[in-house]
Amino acid sequence: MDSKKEKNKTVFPKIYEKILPVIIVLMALTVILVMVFAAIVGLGII
Amino acid sequence: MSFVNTYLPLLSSIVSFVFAFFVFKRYKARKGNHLLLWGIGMIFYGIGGLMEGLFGLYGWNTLGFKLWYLFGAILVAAWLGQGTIYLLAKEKTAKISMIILLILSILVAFYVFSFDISQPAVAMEELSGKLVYPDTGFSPRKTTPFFNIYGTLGLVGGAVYSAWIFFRKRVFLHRVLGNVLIALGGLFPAFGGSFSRLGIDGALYISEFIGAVLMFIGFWRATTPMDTEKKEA
Repeated sequence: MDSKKEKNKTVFPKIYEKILPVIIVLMALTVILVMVFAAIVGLGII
Repeated sequence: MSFVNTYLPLLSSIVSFVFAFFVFKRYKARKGNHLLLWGIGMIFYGIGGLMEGLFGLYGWNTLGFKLWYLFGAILVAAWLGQGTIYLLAKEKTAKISMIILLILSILVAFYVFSFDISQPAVAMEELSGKLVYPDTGFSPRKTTPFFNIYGTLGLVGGAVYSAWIFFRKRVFLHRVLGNVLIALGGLFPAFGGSFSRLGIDGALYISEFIGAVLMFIGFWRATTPMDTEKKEA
């Protein structure tokens, strides 16, 4: 199992190492914001 | 008739049906309930776009509106999200949520088709539940937030979660990028739907097209390993 994981392990280019965590965290925050927005608009609160 | 309210949704529909074809092709080769549900979800996406385009070309049709509302406004996100839940959640959780979604989908289908509607007196540039369903009392429109919030959380939340897991383990860069694109693609119609509810013209159709294209590219990216991925010895 471990050897299989090692086999699949890849090296990410530096640019991805820098931008991907920022993008993923921003997207997670956006999901929460969209959900709140959709709930407010959809349920007729505004 | 304009490009945004006629040809753009027809383009979204074509992209969705082609996307569904590739998802079903992968399902045929590899199986997996998530692929089946994503394929069905993209068919729903395509039906929604087709009805929008036909409305732009030929005007109001009650059956067309009901098909659009059921598949394009209520069910599409939930079924796509259910696919991701099948991929990420425990089998028992996925099965129970699938049964609940199936029952609710059948009930809402009966509700949409039995709810009496007529062409709104106000001229519509694009299909909108706001102008057709009454503001007061219960109507199919009241059900959309529940389906769409569930679906967006499943589809977009699931894609963000998958991207993070693969990134943290530093495996499958193509899947990290693919999931980021799928999440972004799923967010567009969610935003567009909410803006449409606020009465912003064109927001829904444009966001649906961008969403379909991004999700298609994301699916291709997630299922196609990159040349730059170097395996460690």
